[in-house]
Amino acid sequence: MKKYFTMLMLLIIAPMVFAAQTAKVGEAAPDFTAADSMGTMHHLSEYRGKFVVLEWHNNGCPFTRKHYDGGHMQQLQKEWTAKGVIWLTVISSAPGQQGYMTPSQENDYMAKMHAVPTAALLDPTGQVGHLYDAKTTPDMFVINPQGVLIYGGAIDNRPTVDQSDVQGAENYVSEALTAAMAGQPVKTPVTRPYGCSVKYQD
Amino acid sequence: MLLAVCGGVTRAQGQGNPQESIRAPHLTVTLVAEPKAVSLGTTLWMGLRFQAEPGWHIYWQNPGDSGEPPRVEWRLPVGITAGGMQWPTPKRLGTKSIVDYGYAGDTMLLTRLRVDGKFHGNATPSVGAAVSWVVCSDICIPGKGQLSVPLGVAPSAGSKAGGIRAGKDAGSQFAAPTKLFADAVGRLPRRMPGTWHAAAVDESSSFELTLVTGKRESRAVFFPSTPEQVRNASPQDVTALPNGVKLTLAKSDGLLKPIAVLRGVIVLGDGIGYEVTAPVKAMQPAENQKEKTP
Repeated sequence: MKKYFTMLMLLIIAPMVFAAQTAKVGEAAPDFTAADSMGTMHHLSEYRGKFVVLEWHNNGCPFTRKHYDGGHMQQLQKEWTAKGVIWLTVISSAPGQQGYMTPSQENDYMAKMHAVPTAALLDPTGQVGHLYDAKTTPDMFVINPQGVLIYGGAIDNRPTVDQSDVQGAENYVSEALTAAMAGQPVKTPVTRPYGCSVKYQD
Repeated sequence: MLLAVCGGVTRAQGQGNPQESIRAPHLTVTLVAEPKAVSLGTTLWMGLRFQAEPGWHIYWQNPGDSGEPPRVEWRLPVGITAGGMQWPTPKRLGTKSIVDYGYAGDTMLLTRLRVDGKFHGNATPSVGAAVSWVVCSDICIPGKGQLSVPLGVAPSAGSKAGGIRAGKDAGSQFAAPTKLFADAVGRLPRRMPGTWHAAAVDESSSFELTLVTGKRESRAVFFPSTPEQVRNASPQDVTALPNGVKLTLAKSDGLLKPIAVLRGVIVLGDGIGYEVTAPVKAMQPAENQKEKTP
């Protein structure tokens, strides 16, 4: 009886402990629930069976603007969502901080910039950001169809603010997706993300 | 002041028309030479001085969780070569969840220049630098510009006679280093005294870094030279030892493979930074057992 009780307790506690752990490359990507700029709720778990990209975003950050002002990030969003990838832009800026967006502001921004992620998640409490320990904008994560985090870090190998550096850079997100879709291991699974700090409320 | 914003980058005053100092938003950058004259076979310091407004900072070579260090490309006359950038001991900056390593206020990054036999001192030489940086408070503003500083030419014993003549500032090379440079050199991390010893043990989720100095050290802060080894935002647990100090450093989640050495700068209670290269030993189960047995 005691044994069954212990097992039952483990079954109850295990998912809670799991949910509290931050994301780690090579392990299951922690699940979350967040509303997008259209008011739709997204659960990461509903995208099991698909590749998911998480892109931390702050439209006032010069490192983010490097990838948006020339249309490069939008190009990546277009290219990979066309191949079935779920691309979630995540905004963890707290109210009053740089990059914080109301739903309508974000919708206007995406229309103006021709941004085409699957959705832009609004995370003003920083809950999703802290779960993934997102540090910079951009900070990029790739999750495979089995729900395992297979990449975390920089968007590419050129940690600058110069748009001219985008051409010819080694894009780690595209590399991870290309390799994983071909059944290959990801060559560079972790890099130091570069950019502005995420403007959390703490 | 002429300012133009282009592609998110502030092009500071003076770009395309190099000068010794650039005033940019929240920051002034100045190129300084010490001494101000060159002669064959000597070395001189070049200082890149960043004076940030209160509340603004720039970054160390390992910036920590966010930001980027300043970058420089030297424009040097033939016969003058530059060594690597020497970074002053940084400070921990940032918030609870994002910790950066950098410098607030007035900071000078140093580079050693060497004057070799190919140098012809028949014109007034100048040293130029294409500099880019990111200066941050709660937000970040990038900037870049061209700097240049003229140098005099000092006569030197055994130099190519005639090829080298005295420049107008030649006398200054014999002057004692200015306080500016003496202070900047004093802020560079020092080499560890030969009697000291550093070693690290790889625990499953942390590194235990022990520094033996010969006396009790109750305060220590470690700055990792390489990103993604130590979790920057985690508090560093400091234990004073009778002959030194032990730090428990949480591992970065991004560290997927064991490392052979932990390199960085350790700042002790006196505020002085020391360069540390600690060989990393895997935790020995037997040794661990022994420690736990009274």
